[in-house]
Amino acid sequence: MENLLKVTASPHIRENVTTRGLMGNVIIALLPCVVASALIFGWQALLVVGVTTAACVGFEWLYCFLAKKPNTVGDLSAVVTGLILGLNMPVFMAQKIWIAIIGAFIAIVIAKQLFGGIGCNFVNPALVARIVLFTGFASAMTTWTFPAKANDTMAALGVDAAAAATPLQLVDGSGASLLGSYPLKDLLLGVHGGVLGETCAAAILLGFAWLLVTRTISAAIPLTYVGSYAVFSALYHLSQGTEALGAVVLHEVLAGGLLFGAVFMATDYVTSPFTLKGKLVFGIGLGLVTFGIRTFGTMPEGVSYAILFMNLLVPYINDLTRQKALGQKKKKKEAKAA
Amino acid sequence: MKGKTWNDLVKPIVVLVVICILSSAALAGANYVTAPIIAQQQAAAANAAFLAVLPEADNFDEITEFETTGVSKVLKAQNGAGWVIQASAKGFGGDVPAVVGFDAEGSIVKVQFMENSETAGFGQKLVDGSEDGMKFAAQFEGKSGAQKIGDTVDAITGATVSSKAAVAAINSAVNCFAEVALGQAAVVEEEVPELTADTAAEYLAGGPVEPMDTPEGLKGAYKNGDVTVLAAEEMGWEYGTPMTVMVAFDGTGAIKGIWADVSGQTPGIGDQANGSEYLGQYTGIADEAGLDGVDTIAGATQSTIGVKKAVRKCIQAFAAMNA
Amino acid sequence: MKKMQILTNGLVKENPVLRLVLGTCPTLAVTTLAFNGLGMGVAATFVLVCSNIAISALRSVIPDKVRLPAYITVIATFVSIVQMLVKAFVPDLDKALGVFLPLIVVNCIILGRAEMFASKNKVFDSALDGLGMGLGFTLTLVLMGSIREIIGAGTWFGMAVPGLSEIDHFTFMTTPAGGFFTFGCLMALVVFIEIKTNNRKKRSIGCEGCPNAAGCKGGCE
Repeated sequence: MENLLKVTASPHIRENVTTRGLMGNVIIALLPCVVASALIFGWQALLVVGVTTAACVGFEWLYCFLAKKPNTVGDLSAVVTGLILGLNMPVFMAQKIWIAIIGAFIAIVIAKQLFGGIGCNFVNPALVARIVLFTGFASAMTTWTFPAKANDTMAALGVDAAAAATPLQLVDGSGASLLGSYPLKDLLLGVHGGVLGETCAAAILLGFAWLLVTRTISAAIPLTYVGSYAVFSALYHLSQGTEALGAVVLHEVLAGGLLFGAVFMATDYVTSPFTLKGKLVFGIGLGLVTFGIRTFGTMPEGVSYAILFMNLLVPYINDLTRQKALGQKKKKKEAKAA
Repeated sequence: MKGKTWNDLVKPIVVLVVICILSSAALAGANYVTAPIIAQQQAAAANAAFLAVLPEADNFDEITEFETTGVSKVLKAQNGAGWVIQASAKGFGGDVPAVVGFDAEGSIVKVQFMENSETAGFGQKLVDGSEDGMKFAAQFEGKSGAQKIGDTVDAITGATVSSKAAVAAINSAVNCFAEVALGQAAVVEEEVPELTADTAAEYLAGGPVEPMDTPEGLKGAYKNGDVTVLAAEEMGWEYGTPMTVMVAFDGTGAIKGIWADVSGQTPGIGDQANGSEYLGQYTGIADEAGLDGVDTIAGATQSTIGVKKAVRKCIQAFAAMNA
Repeated sequence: MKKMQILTNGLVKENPVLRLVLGTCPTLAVTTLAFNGLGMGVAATFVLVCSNIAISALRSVIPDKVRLPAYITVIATFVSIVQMLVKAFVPDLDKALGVFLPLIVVNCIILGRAEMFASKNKVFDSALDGLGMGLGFTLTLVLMGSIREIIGAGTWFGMAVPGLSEIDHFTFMTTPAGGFFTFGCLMALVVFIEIKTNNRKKRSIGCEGCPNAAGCKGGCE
C-alpha cells in the first residue's frame, strides 16, 4: 500500500536527459568543425584542439581531486569547454601550445570551478579564456596563417591568391567582381584565415542542425542573434548606400566568429536566459552589441565581447522576462484591486 | 558662556589658522630648496634627448628660421659638432616624432624616436626600447640623404605604416638640414586641401560646377565648361565603408584628375588610394584599355582595386554619355 | 602595547592592504612594476610617519569639530613636500607614479591611522605605528608589483628574469584586470592562512570598514 502513494517534491515527470547526454550531443555537433579545421589548416589544428581539451579535462579532474569534491569530469562539460576553446585559437598556437594550456586553466579553474562548478559560472568559461588569451598574448593569438587550401581555390578561379584576402574582394582581370560566379559552396566553406572553428560555415551549420534535431538547444538565440545582426548591418549599409547589399551583408554574417559564437557560445545553458522571451531579448542584444563593436569600434573581434557583455546582463533579463507561475497575478493589478 | 564661545567658535578657527600658517611655512621652505633642482632637471631632460643623438655637442643654439614642412625644432651645436633636428610625420595613430642628429657634413649620427601614440607592440616598438625598435633606429646611423623603405632601410615587421611615418619624419629632417646647413631650397609640401564630396567636384573641375543628370550606376555628374566630373561608388577595404571616387574628364575625354574619399579605409594603408603617387597614374587615360597599366599599391590592394573599379565605371559612363 | 609590537603590527597582523583593506587604489594602480610599488610605498611611509607625528603632537590642541580639515591640511602639506622632493631627486619615479603621488593625500591608510591611532596616542608610539603601517604597505606593494611584473613583462625591478625573456609574456597581468586578479589571489592566500591559523578577520566593504566612518557620517549618503 505504501508504494502507491508517493509523497515527494516535484518534478514528477522525468526525462532521460542528463548533463552527460546533452554535452555528448554538443561534442558531436562540434566534430564537423574539428574535422573542417583539420582539413583546412592541417594536422596542427587537431593538436591544438586535442591538447586544449585534454588540459581542460585534466584541470577539472585535478581541481576536484585537490578540493576534495566529487569529480565532475564524467559530465563531459570540460570536454565541451576544451573543444570550444581550442576551436577559438589560430593554428599558430600549435607552436606555443603552453599558452593553450594556460587558457584551459583560466577557463576551467578560474572561470568555472572557483565560482562553484558547472551551473554556477556567470560567464561562458571558454569565452573568458579566449578573451584573456587575446589580451594577454595578443601577438600569438592574432598570427593568422593563410591556409594552403585557399591557393587551390584561387588558382581555379584564375586569380592571384595574394591579391584578394576574402571571397568578397575577388575580381577578375577586368576588375569585375567574381562574387556572383563564386561557387556558393566555397563561400560557405570560407577557406580563409581565421581561428580554427570560425572559418567553415558549413560545418557550423551542420553542428547547428544536429543540436536542433536532438533538441539540445533552442533555435531562438542563434536565429535572433544572426538575424538581428543581419538586419542592423543591412540597415546601416542601406543608409550608407552600399552596393551589392545582399552580398555584403551575407559576407559580414559569414565573417569572423559570428556563426560559431551564435551556435555554440551564446547558447550555453548556464549563461543564457530561461524563457523564450528572454532568449529573444538576449539574441537581439547580442546582435546590436556585435554590430556596434564591429562597425564603430576599433576592436577586430566583436563577438566575444558582445557575448561577454550580454552574459553579464542575463540575470536582469531573467528578472524582466520571468514566466508567470500558474495562478500568479501581476502584483500591480492586485494592488489596484485591493 | 564665554568658555563655550571660545571652545565652539574661536578655538577651532585659531587652531586651523595656525596649522595653515605652519603648513605654508613648511611648503615654502621645501619649495625654496627644491625648485632650482627641479628646473635644472627639466632643462636637462629636454636637452638629454638632443644630446643623445649628438653626443659630441655641448650646448645648442636654436634656429627659428626654416621652412621645411614637418620640422618642429632646429638646433645647431655651439661647438660645431653638427645639428639636431626634430621632425614628425603622420603615422597610424598620430604623429611619429623623431629627433635626428647630423654631423657637420650631413651624415646621420643617431636617431631617436619620441613618445607617440602608435599601436602597442607594433608602432610603439619605435619608442619602448624593444630590440626591433633599436635595430630600426640603428639602421640610419652613418647614412645621409633621403631614406626609403625597402631601398636604404628596412621597416619594422608588421609596423609598416609607423615605419613609413618614421622614415618620412627622418627625411623631413634631412631636407631641413639641406635647407639650414647647406643653404639649399626648402622642401615645402603643398597643403592639399581637405576635400569632401561637395568640394571635390569643384576642385577637380577647377571652378564652380553645375550638376547634370546622373547616369545610371553613378553617384553624381557635374559640368564646368568642357570639364565633366563623374562620381561613382565602390567598396574598397572589405571592412571599411564604400568609397566615393570622382573622375574629371577634360574636353578630349582623357582623365584630368581624380579624388577618392578614403575616410572609410584603413588609415595609413588604404588612404594611399587618395595619394598623388597612386592617382597620378590615371592622368591622361582616355579609355578602359588604359586602366590595365595602372598598378595597385601593395598592401592596400582592396582600396586601390576599389578606386580602379570606380574609375572604370566612370569611363564607361562617360563613353556612353558621349557616344 | 609594547613599542616593538606597535611597529610590527602594521607589517602582517594588521597589514593595511590585505587585512584592513585600506589604500587599495594605489595598490592596484602603481603595481605594474615592482620599482613603482617600492617608490610609492616609500613616499607613503614618509608621509604617514610625518603626519602621524604632527597629528599626535597636536592631538590635544585640535578641537573635535575640525578634526578632519586639520588632518587633511597636515597630510596634504607633507604630500606636497614629498612630491617636490621626488620631482627634484627622483624624476623617473615622479613620471612613473604620475597622478598617484599627489593622490596619497586621500589614501585611506594615512587618514585612517591618523584617526584611529595618532589622535589617541603619544608621539613616539604614533611614529612607530606610522612606520609599521607604511612598511606593511610597501611590502604588499612590492610583492604585488613583483608578481605582476615578472609574469607580465618578464623583468623584476627592470632586470630581465633569466629564462623568462624568450617566451611570450602574459601581458594581461600588467593591465588593470590583471591587477584586480592578482589582488584577489593575494587576498585569497591571506584568508587561507588566516583560516589555517584561526585568525579569521572580518573584512567589511563600504562605510563600515572605513576608519573615518564616525567622522564623515552623512557625507556620502
